[in-house]
Parts: sequence; structure tokens; C-alpha cells
Amino acid sequence: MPIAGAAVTPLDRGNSEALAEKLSAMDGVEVRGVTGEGIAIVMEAPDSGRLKRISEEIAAWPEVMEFTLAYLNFEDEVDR
Amino acid sequence: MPISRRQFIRAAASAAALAAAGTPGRALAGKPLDYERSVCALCGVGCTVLVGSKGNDVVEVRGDAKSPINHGRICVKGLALSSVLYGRDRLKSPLLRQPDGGLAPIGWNEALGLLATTFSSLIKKHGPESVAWYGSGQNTTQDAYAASKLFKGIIGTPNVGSSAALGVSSAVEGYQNSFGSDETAGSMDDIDKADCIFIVGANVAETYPMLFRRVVNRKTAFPDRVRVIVLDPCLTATARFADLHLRVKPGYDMHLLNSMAHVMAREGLLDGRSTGHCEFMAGLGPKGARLDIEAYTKFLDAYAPERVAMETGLASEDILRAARWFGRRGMSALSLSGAGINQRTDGVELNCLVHNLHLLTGRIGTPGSGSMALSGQVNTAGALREQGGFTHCLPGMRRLDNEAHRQEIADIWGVRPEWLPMASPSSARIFDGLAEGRIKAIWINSANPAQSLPAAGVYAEAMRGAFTVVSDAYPTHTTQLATLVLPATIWGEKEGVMVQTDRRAQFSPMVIHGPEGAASDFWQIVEAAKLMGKKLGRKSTYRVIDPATGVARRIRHDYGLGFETEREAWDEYRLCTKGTDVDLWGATYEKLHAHSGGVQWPCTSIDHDNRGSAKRYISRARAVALYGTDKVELPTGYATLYDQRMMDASMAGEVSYYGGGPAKGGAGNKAVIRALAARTDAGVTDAEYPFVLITGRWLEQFNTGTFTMRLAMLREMKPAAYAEICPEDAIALGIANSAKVRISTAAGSMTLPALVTERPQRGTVFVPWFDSVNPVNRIMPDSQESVSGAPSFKLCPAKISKA
Repeated sequence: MPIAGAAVTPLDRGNSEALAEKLSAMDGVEVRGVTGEGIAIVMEAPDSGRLKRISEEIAAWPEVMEFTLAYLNFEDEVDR
Repeated sequence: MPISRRQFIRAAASAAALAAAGTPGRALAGKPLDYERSVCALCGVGCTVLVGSKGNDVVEVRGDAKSPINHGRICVKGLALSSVLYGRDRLKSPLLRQPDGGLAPIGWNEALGLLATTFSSLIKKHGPESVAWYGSGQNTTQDAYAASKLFKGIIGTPNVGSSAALGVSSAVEGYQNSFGSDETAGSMDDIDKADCIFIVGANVAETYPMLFRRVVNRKTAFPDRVRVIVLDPCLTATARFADLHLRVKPGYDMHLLNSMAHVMAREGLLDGRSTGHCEFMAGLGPKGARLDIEAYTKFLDAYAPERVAMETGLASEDILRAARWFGRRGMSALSLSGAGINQRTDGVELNCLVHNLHLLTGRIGTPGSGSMALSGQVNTAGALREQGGFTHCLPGMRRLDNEAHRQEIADIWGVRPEWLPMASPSSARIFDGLAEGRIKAIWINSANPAQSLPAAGVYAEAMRGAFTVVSDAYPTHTTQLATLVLPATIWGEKEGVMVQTDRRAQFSPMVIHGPEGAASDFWQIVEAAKLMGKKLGRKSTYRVIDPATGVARRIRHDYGLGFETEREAWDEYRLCTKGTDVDLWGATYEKLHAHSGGVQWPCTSIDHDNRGSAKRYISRARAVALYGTDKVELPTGYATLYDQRMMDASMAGEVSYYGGGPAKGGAGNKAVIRALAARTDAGVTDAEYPFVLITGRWLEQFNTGTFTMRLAMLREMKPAAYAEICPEDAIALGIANSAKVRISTAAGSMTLPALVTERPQRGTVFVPWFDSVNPVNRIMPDSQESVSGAPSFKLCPAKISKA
């Protein structure tokens, strides 16, 4: 399944924890860290189209200022 | 321990994401920020900025690259500007003083009802002069215009003042005395062509940073040609950049400026073409004796450099050098002057003496030349100087003592001319009226006089004892004294027009909604006017004004100000200015929106590309002779290099100083070069108070710090005031760096930590005035000696001792 890493920058840096919780609740999204500048997430989905839709959904949240894709691996086979 | 390939790839994704989360990145998807053009509110330059918002949040402020003012740059205060909106202690509800001394929230209806009832009752019982308004240069032009119309047109009191007057009233009177009309003849663009830049009493590097950037650029581009002269008793950041720092002994500037004029006359640097457009008079005002040029130059003999060098604390060679650089043949000269000469008892004289240098040498009206008094706040011009913000004035630089002006304004306002007040000598000093009990109610808006006025402690008690209404966004020393506090929206949360130093009107939009419960100053004034008008039985005319033709169609006569929106108020104000010196008829809302850097008055045409007059007082023919063209193309539109008012009124002559203000006397269309003797009491210190206390600003803090002290970045840079003293004085007094020192004046004492620095000269101490914990203005005596009423914040006798 395609796997991506992204940084989510909150509009209100004081609200990072609440945003991290909301991200954690999404199917296929794992929060890997909350820094002073943003939230690092790893996403995994059955296909890259679904990954794209997850990304767009997060970017459109009113509490999100920036969504930055940092890594994408879309090889078919990831588990041996 | 072995891991799966899937785990390995997830780990790579995680590492990349963490790296990206540590630094800002570019958006991949989602809605980008909305950007609107606006004006920075944190100094008098008025840098054009782009404000980025998402939903109802401002998230970014950056400079507008298309702006002819700042060319995309902003300073540290501009960078932090958006944070002004998000202080934790924003006022969000009207508050009423309770019997136990606390403040309790009330609703807007109750608040405005109380305001209207109290003011109206006092007016009926004690007359219109029992109430007052006090605004600031943070008000939009429409806020101030609405207040002027309410208080002068409906209520009929002359008691309309502004904190902005503290910084510019001397400059206003200086322009009136020299030119018959307020405000500069040139533009900021003159910096880019100036060969001599004479900075007088202004630490431009810290108080007008983006303007200073243009000075630096000019000097850097032509290091051998351009000369920067700084006249300042302190070794400021600006002075460090200068080719020549005239570190004058405090109080001896008049001697120095007259001495420069003497050198110019002695060495044949006078320009007969320019002096031919001038009258020579002795003293200030209209009644001075007329002189001829011979009598004037004879008057200057007493100021030969060899005679005044010792008094001024300067070398005679430096005075000679300054005069020669200013008056170099075939070169231009531009003065930038500020509070250092305005906030003085001799401030009007000092401004006139600076203007003298330009008129004597012809360094005015030509490329790179002019005398520019810098405004201290973003809308000092629009909220005070141009639309009747002084107690004796009416919009469009009109006067209450002029029958024709009164009728013109009464016609536009739809009020009876007899409602308009007459100014009185006492009306100029509103807080004296409060202290004496003549004024019983005052509405203070976007100002903090409990911290900014001289002898502020005295006036604070007067505010506490009166019915004091304060509109502001944050708690201040003044809200602590108020009977009624009204929460106001601020920059970015309200729309309006702001006018900066070089006659430039720019639009400041409402980008987001302010906090729930807060209301714009404009709305507050408009609604209060409806209530007060009804109680006083006074209506004004509501009309629709065609923004293109000025034809007004009456709709009704009703209680209120005749308009409901900021745009309607602006169109009416434009009508007020049409055909006056401050003609903003051409500054339509559409034009202000369209052009970065706005419109410079006089702008007499609504033609979309016409952005007003870059130069005043010169004809089209003269402009073509000087520049080879009559207009300058801007990134969008153009500005004329001639005075559009002169053109429209078909004024004769290549140069016409057409200002008709009464201070100029019967000089007609000539400017006035004034023979002004330096005051013999210039040495203000004595045995009891041997030091001179000077107050001012630092780069990181603005005015009383209401905004800037709430911005974490700026507060960390400059969290508190300290007293700057020079090493020699520190050693003599046994004061170590950071040690507590006691500063005493005739008005009081305060204790501050010392900063031992080369900035102040021997015998002076500098204290910034932003610190609300240590408000230095409380120990500045309130001097009434100035012609303009300006406080003496730059020259206060003091003594210093270890605390």
C-alpha cells in the first residue's frame, strides 16, 4: 500500500495537541510527533488516489494552515 | 532486530515528515491564504503591506513589493503587526464603573444610551463646551470626520482634540507660518533624488525604519555625491550613519539654523529666483514687520558661526560645512524633521527656520528637494491636520473663525451654521478644561492620555473625576480611569482611509471580524450621534452623493450624521475637500483600492490612473522645465509633478504658495522667510536641575506600548524603559550600568535602571516613553509657552542621582 509522510502546520500553534488528536482519529493516519512548527504524520492507504484524498481533506480543515508532503512511496508491495 | 520492508518505508516516511514539521513548508493542496492590501499602523511611514488571512484569522503580514513607499520591505514592528489582534486581554464588552470602583460588563444599548444621556444632559445644563472629544492618529479619517461632525456640527463644541497633536502641532504652525498651508510640498520619492539629506530632530533609523532604508540606499548608491547631515543632541543610530553629526547642545538649535542661513547668505548661496517668491517678515504670525532681504541678512550677522559655535557646542567648521553641503550649486537638499524640534516650546520657530533654509536656497519644488515634517502616527494627517481635528478648525483645513468656511461646512453637513462653535484660546487645552471643571465629560478614542500627556498624573485625576468614556481595544492607564469603557476593533478589523507624511491617502481594509462584543469606532460614533441628536433636537441631512460628480441628492433630514457606512462618510469628506488645499476629490474608494501606495492630494480628478500630485506649489510648465515631463509613471497609474490645485484653479505663475492661512498675513501667493531670534533662555538647566531630560521612541516599541508591549517578540526585545546616560556622567555620579537612578523634574520623580551608553551627550538623559510601568511623561512638566501648545518633551530640566 502507498505510504506517505507529511507535516501539518496548525493555524494556532497553541492548538497543536487538539489537531493531533483529530488526525489520529483518521483512518490510515498516524501522528509521529508534534514539534514547535507542526505535526508529523504518516499516512497509509490502499492506493495513491486515496492518499491524495486524505491529504486534501486534511489541508481543507479550517484549523490547518499548511499541509506539506515530505515523502511518498507508492510501490505495490511493502510487506515481505 | 529485523524489521519488515513496510516498517522500513514507514520509518522513512516518518523521518521525512518530522524533518518537514521542524521547518515551514509549501502547501501541497488546500485553499491558499487570502491576501488584501493594507497599511501598517505602527509608525508614520505607512508601509503598504499584504495581509494574509484564512477564515477569520490573520496569519501573515508582509511588505507589498508594488508599494512606492517601502518597496516590499517592512520592519520588525510590521512583521509582528498581526499579533496586535490577538492579545489575551482584548476588551470584548462595554464596561461601566461600579460604586466599588470595579468595572462591570453592560450591553451596547445601555452603554451608548448612557453616553448619549449623560453628554446631552451636561450640554443642556452647562453648554456645549462642557463636553469634549479626544482622538488619535490611530483613528481612520472617517472615524475622525464622524467625530468632528458630531462634536462641532451637532453638539457645537470646539473641544475636539487628538493625541496626534502632541507630535505635530509645531510642524502644523510652522507650515502655516511659512507657506500659509499645512503639510509638505514634496514626496518621499524626493529621498531617491536628494543630494543633501538633512535630518533634523528625528531618529529616522529607529522611528521611521523604512524611510531610513531609502536614505541608506541613496547614500550607498552615490557615496561621494550625497551628504547626510543629522542635527540631534544624541548619538542615535541615524546620527551614526551621518556624514556630519551636528550634536548640538540642547536648546541651541535656533542658533545653529540661523547660523547656517547666515553662511548661505555670506557665501552667495541664496537663490534669487526662490527668494523672489517670498516675503521677509520678523517674528511669527501675520503682524510681524516686513523686511527686505538686506535687513534679513543683517539680522543674521549675529549668528555667524564664529559667534555661535561655543553656545551650540559645535565647531564653526561643522556649521560652515553643513550650510555649504545644503546649498551646493546645482544640487538638491531635502529635510526630514521630527519630534525633536516639534515637541519644544520653540518648535514653531524651529520648523520655520528649517523652511527658511529651503526657501533661501531654492531647495524646494525641485527634484530631490523639500522640507518634510514627519508624522508620528499612521493617520496623523487624515485624523487631525486635514479634517478639522484642531479646536479651531473644520474639515478641509478650514477655520471656525472664517464665515465662508462655516457656511460651506454647514451646507455640506446639513446643519445650521450657528450650531458650529467658535474657537476660544482656552478650548485648545482640553485637559486643562477637564482639570478646571469646565469640561465635565470627555470621550477618549484610541488614545492613552493618562500615559502620554505631560504631567499625566495631574490630568489622570481630572479624567477620574469627570464622566470619561474610553474607546480602546486593550486596557490602558486611561481605561483604568474611565467611567465607561467601550471595546473597539482595530487595524485589520475595521476599514478606513489613512493619510501619511507625504499627503498620501491609503486604504486600510477590514480583513477579519473583530472579537465578538467589540465594535468599530466609526459605528460607535454614528450610533451615539443618532441618540444624541435626538436628545438635543438636532438633525443633519442624509443624502446620496454621486461619487463621480459630487452632486448630492437629499434623502431625508434626520438624527445622526448623515451617513451610515465608512464609504458614505468618505464620499462626503471628499466633497468637503473639493477645491481646498487638501483636495481629495479624486481619491475615490475604487482608486484607493486599486493602487498600491494610494493617492497624494491634491488629487482633483477622479480619472482612475490619476494618483494625485507628487509636488505642490509648482505649475505644469515649471514641472516640465525641471523634470522634462509633467508626470511620473508608477507601477499602476501616475502622479503629476505639478500641483493639480494650481492647474484646476488656473493660478498664475510658475510657483505659487497659495495657502491662505491667516498666519501668513498679507503675503498673498508668496511664502514667508521669517527672521526669528534665538531665545536667550535656551540654556534651560540651572543649579537645581543641571541635566536635560529627553524622551522619545525605540525601534521596537510604538507610542505608549498599547499594541507593541503585547507582541511577545517586541516585548522580549525591549521589555522596559531605562535611563540612558553617557559614560562621563555615569562616572561622575558613581552610577554603574543597570544601577537604579532617580530622575527628578519640577513635575515629579521616578526611578529607573541606568543604561550607560554613548547615545546621550554629557548633561543629558534619554528615556523612552512606551513603558506603562514607568511612564516618563508623568514627570514632564506641562509647559504652556509654545505657540502651538506643543509639550516640551525634548528639553526638560532634570537632575539625576543614585537611587
